[in-house]
Amino acid sequence: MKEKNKEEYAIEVNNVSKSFRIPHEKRVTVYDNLVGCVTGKSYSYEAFEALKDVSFNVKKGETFGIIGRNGSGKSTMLKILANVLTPDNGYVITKNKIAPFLELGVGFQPELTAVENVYLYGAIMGLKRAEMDTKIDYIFEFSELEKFKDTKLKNFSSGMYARLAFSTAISTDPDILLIDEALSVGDEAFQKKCAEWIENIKNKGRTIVFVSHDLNSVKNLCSRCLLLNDGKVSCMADTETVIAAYRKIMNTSEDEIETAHVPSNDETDILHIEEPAGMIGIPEQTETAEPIEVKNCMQHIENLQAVKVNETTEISYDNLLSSNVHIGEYTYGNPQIFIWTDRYHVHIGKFCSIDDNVKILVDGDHRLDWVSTFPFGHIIPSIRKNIDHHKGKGDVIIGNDVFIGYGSIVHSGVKIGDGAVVGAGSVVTEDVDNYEVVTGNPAKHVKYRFSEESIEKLMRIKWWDWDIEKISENIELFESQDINSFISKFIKGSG
Amino acid sequence: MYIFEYSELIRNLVISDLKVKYQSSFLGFAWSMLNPLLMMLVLYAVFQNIFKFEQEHFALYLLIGIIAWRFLSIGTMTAMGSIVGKPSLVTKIYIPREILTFSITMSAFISSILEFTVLIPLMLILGAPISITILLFPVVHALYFIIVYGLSLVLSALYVYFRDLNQIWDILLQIGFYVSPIIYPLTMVPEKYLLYYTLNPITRLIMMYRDILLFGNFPTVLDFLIVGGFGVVFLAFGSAVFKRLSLRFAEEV
Repeated sequence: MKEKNKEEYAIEVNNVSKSFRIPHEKRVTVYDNLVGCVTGKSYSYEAFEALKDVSFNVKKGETFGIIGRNGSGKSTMLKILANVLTPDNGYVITKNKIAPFLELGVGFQPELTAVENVYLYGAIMGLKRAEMDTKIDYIFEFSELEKFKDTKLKNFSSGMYARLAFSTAISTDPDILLIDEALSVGDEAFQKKCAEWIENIKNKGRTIVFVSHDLNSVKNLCSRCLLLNDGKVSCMADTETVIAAYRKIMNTSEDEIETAHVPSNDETDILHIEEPAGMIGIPEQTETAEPIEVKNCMQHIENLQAVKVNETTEISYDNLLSSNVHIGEYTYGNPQIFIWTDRYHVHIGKFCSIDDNVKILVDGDHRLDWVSTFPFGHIIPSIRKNIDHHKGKGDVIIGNDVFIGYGSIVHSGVKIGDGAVVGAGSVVTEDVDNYEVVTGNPAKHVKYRFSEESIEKLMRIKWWDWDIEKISENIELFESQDINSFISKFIKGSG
Repeated sequence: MYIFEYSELIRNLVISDLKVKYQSSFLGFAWSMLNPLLMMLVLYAVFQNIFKFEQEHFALYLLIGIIAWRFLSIGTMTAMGSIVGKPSLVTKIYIPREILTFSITMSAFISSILEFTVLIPLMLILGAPISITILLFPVVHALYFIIVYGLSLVLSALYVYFRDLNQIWDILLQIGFYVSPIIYPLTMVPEKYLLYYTLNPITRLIMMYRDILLFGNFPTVLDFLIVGGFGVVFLAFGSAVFKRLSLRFAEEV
């Protein structure tokens, strides 16, 4: 242990690398291994490098964020900090007691009562029973579950479970907290309480390592951030800078980011990324735009990534587009939305999956019925602009729970109903019904996903308006083919 | 030392394991005693009447051997799955993983003590004298625990990587059962093999249990030294293997 001069660090991570073995042929038994020896095949595996030479320090009392795309190594890093995984190379020094919130309710047993589980959790955290005795009231007060103290855990709803788990976890009063997106539990009021608690802990001078996709929380909480990309430290600096760099990664393909934006991290531990080059200016109104900007605007739109993972994730388009594009919660994907004027809107519902290379053409058609199709006023400055040049058939409205396959094109003025599926490579020129499956160019009806009766009932249930808690409680039904059970479970009340 | 630091967790794990084993009832324990008692009766009937062993209190002699053996076989077999059986405590949080193996071994140890206490009323019924040497029981049993725990550490760690180890170990245990003097008296063993035979620490332990519980003899110092020596070696070896293999537990479980 190197103690000298490093007192101020709560966590030191030095050149940590971690790879996982992905065997070509899984051998999990003695028998497999014997057979392998006899047949003479050598035991080969691919090493997947989850973390490559990562170093950073977290100061005492600091709130430190780790962000990155899925698969960038965030969770692996957190697990190494929590001592669950052992690094292949490098080492981690942590001082004081660490409480990992990798998952809430670790060790909880459904057959035990709430109180018994709280004591069990305390024991897992290495606390004595007497210590837990002093905390038990606080836990049940915080979780608002006083009435359910002696209820067996198996009778808890998932929201109650999460609240109990969270309250228990925070009661252990650790010096260092590792938080892995565990904060999104319970209803809004409870979330607010959690946020207050974190603020409180921060003020107490505790060290927090926070891993999240939720850039708003990161921005609010963390003073410093680390951006991981492909298991490497891409950037480490103050939160604003790192978030800007993260946005760039999200908006740019991997190759580009490697070469263009992020300096290699071979030389120094801490990199200060330059301010990102100013976003390409987007004209507020096309009428007043200079031609050059119009071109840029087009370029920008082509690169638009309307990624929306949940309601708090920020979207990378602005001005003109944000007022014309409406995307529901949990919808994900990066469609290219071609929108030229602000006459038309794009509405995309909740829980939609939009594959890569999907294009949504809102307007921008040229006038075939005019003498020339050329948009004179928008290209040549000396000619007045005419907004009527851009033609469109109307708003594009996409319902909830819609899947649009790879490379599809959705034309202007089209309405796609809830639950619809658009096959890959389709060109949608006509409206698509609720729960209709279409494909082809132009997209033609293939079938309906369910019977007419079921669809009518699904449209009454409208599960996409539920809160996530309710969806998560019924996730097995969602992921089953049993449409009848699904309907019969939820239609009772309404008729 | 993890055993003291996490004593509360160990207590919890042991209790919940025992609760599951005995379904929280005395009857549950009675059921679990049925197995060794029935086995003793069958073996007694077979050996006493067919082979006509001349061994005083042969029923108790058999039962002590069976109960002692059960701690090894049940202890190692259940402890083998201790890591694999609690994945969330391995992959979601850090606790010294030895605790999981320790708790299960401890639970088997407590069961074993309960089984031994059933001997006392049986001895009274069958008219066997209870001697002062019974006070040595905790010492012998503690030494046995160290041996079983050492073995369990190796087995539970290997089992994470080799999931058919339980089958292999089961066969080895069956061989061990017949290699140890459980169902036959030591006098049956030919003299020329006797030295090798008594090197088996389990053989020595079973003989010690019979000495202190049934015959009222004090085991020799050499007995304690040999058994204790095996205990230290097994524990050291087990801990080292476990430490080494535990590095990738979270990936393999």
